[in-house]
Amino acid sequence: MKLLSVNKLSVSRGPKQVLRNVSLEIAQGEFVGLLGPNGAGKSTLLKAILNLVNSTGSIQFQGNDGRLMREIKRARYASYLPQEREVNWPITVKNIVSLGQTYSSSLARTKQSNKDEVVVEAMRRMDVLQLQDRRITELSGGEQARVLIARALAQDTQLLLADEPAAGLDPAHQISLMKSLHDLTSEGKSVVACLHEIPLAARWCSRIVVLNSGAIVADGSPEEVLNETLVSQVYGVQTYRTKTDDGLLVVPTTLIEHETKSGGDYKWPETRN
Amino acid sequence: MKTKHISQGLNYPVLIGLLSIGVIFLFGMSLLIGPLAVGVADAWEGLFSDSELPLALIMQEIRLPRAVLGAVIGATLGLAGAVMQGLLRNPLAEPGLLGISASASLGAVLAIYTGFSAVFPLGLPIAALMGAVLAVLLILAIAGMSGSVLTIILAGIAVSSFAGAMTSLTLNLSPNPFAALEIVFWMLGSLNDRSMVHVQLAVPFIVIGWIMLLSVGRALDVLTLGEDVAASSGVNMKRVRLLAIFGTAASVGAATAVAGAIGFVGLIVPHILRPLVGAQPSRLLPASALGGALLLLAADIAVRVIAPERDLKIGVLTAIIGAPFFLWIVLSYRRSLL
Repeated sequence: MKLLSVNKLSVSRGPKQVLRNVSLEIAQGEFVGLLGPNGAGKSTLLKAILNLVNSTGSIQFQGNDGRLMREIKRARYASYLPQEREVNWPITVKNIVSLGQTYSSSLARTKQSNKDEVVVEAMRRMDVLQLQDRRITELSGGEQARVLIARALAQDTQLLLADEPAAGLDPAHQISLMKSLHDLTSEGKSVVACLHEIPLAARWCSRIVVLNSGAIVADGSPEEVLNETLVSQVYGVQTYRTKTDDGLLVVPTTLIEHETKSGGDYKWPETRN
Repeated sequence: MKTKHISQGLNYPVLIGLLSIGVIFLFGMSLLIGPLAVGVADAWEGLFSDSELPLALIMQEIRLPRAVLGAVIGATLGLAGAVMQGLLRNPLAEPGLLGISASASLGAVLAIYTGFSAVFPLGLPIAALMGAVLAVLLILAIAGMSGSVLTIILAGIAVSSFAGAMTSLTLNLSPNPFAALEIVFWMLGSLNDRSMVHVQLAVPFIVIGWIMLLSVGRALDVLTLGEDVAASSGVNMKRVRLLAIFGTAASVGAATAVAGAIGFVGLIVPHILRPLVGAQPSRLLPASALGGALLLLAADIAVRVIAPERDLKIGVLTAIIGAPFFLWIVLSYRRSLL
């Protein structure tokens, strides 16, 4: 059974179609990197899946209609890390991460000790265990980001939808984040992450989905999708691509001049003028 | 604020216990203080005696309703303030933000102006409650059933300003200075001369409001991380917004109806207690309710002790103490930011 099936999902904002007929299926154990330039509709896609914005089309979590679902039930299928990192009160890190377990007791009837284990495990994965008694407002941006990812992990769902989880992290924590998400997928969970870091996506994701102007323009393994033509047509940059012992290495190098960018198979987003 | 040592040292049940003891103590003090000096034993006897003796009448008909209203209204303001700050994720939010107190005041003022309150003893609080109900309907109509937090705030400001303007108009057109004075005095807020009938009228609404407000505690915790995180981790935001708005309307509307608009309690109490509960909104709600009761009982005792013969209005006192205290909070926030 697919963890998530999205069929012909469309989102309009005023006259503008932000997402058009996006269809996507996520199976167990997949680590999907959602790529695309600014304004491609990546964040909107995640929000639409979670019913946080109005949309048309069908959304199913493990075969259950996501639209008719109550929030508390949807929270059992998918957890979410928004791009905007909002923290309002000076709460301790441990209490923030525990928020992921707020509604799990009524769902899974987990015992308190079980809940604590999930929370500690989430903090360990995100390397914030040593910060657990600090207030989140006292932490640096990157540390806060890791705490918020830990909160999403503590929701302990089969599917994690993360909007730019690597943004603002130092290289070491970017790599350890990708490794942690990869570990989750090898435990049978699935991750869909909006990413701007092409090298991280190429190295760690099992599947790359590329959005452009609100439509999926490519979907496949990093080797298939992250070729020079596609990256140059979607992002307007040239890339250096090679195979290393650690996997695929794809690094954006230089901007392509405007004339050479047009004429490809892919339509440019209107927002890119 | 430099309260780290406190937040990690003070245990939550201990805090709740201390606040409860404080409320019980001040409730007792409130029963003992008044023009007639009463000993503890006499007061106790008076409270539970069936006789028609003056002491029993004073205790049961004058002091008990006053103490009950002080505790209940203070708790309402503290609780509603904590819920509003949690829902709007803004430390400046307070129970009056939705325009409910202003509209309840307008209802009361109209009752005084038209003479409805003189004809029918419960006319004033009932008119005030109707004002609160109208305010909520208006806010829901403007902000929509699933309105965002910002539209709710703006709608509240609009309703509040309009009710304030209508109150001023009523004062402006007031037929004689006595009516105007009565209106002004009522608006200052007081627990003086309230009877058990006031308690019976207000308490059911207040308790219903409390239940609604206390039920959103866990949702407010998750809301710390924003509405999208809250919704995706299981919170029905629409339901939470409606519970918070109706809960505030019922409890603060009823509180304003019997005691007038008492400011600053709902703003300050959550601020004082937030560092002591580790800033967690769900823990702040019960603490803030107890803290509000504590503060209002103390203020009501203070007005009786400071100027026993002048009928000092409690709303005046809370503002006199509250405003400088608020300034102090602002200054200490600024210091912690530097």
